[in-house]
Amino acid sequence: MFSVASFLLEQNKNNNNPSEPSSSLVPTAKFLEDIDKVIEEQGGTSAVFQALEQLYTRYKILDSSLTRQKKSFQEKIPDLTNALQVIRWLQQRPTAPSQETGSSASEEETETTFELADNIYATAIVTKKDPQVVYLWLGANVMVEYSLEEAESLLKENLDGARDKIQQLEKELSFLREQMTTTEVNISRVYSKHLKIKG
Amino acid sequence: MQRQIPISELSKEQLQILYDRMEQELEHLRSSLRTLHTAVSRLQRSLQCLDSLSHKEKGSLVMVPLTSSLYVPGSLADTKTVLVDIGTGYYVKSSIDKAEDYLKRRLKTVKTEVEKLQQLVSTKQEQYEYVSVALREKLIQTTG
Repeated sequence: MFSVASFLLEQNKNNNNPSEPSSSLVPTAKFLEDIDKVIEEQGGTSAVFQALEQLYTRYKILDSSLTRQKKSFQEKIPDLTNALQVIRWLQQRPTAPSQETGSSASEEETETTFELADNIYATAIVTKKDPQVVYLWLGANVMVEYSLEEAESLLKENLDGARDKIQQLEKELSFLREQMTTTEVNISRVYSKHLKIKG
Repeated sequence: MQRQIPISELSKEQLQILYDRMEQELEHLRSSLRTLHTAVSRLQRSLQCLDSLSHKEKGSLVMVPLTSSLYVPGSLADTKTVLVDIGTGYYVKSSIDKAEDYLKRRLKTVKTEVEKLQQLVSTKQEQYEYVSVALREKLIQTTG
């Protein structure tokens, strides 16, 4: 995925060392122990320097993309929690009496104020029917009707998925930051070597 | 005390600074203009919604939004009054006509602001182009 000089990256060890963290997205930067050897192999400090800079830029791009993804998941969480709360409230309301008893409509009705437009709210009556359906907006002009239970499990799944994704992204981000630090150290060592050679 | 300095007396570094600053100002003004345009279209949409509400009968089936992605079937309770959010946590219950009036008034105010801002933008644009021409001439003079 990273078309960067391979001498800068650790080759993929097949998990011989399970305690060593690795990541599927972030390539592991190799700490250049012997700078002189690397410079000799690559033919000059500027070649090494350029390769290091390229790697660093790629890391920075990855950083901003992962951070953006994390932010978008974080924004979804309050929405999902709210919707779940509402569904639980809907479930808790007493149901309408069954048809067999023949009692006429004393269904549980709730009057609610909802957002009609930007600063305008109107009132509506929500009745509890059995089976109760809700509509979920799934995005991309798609809205689906669900029963209460289905809706609850779908929202819960999404919420858990979002939380997991955020955790995963945070792990990737911290690993990425380590690699960036390694690369920065490499860069400064190559640079000081370069100055020594010149001066 | 401000002294008016004709552009031709400025050095090319000063002209460059002026040029950059004007570019920034123009960008700010343009983005304010965009915000105002969004406000205008949102107000117009609210007006449309109010209008369609006034044509509905009480008890007609609607989808009631309970959160930004969750809707519940319900029926309209009141098609004569609505709650208007007038800001800072205050809501006013009023008839549809009054609400329409309020929205129309706000729309007019915003539209006037848009016009004023538009004029300001075109004046700034003219000045900006004037400065850019002067800067180019200065550059040609000193390098040519």
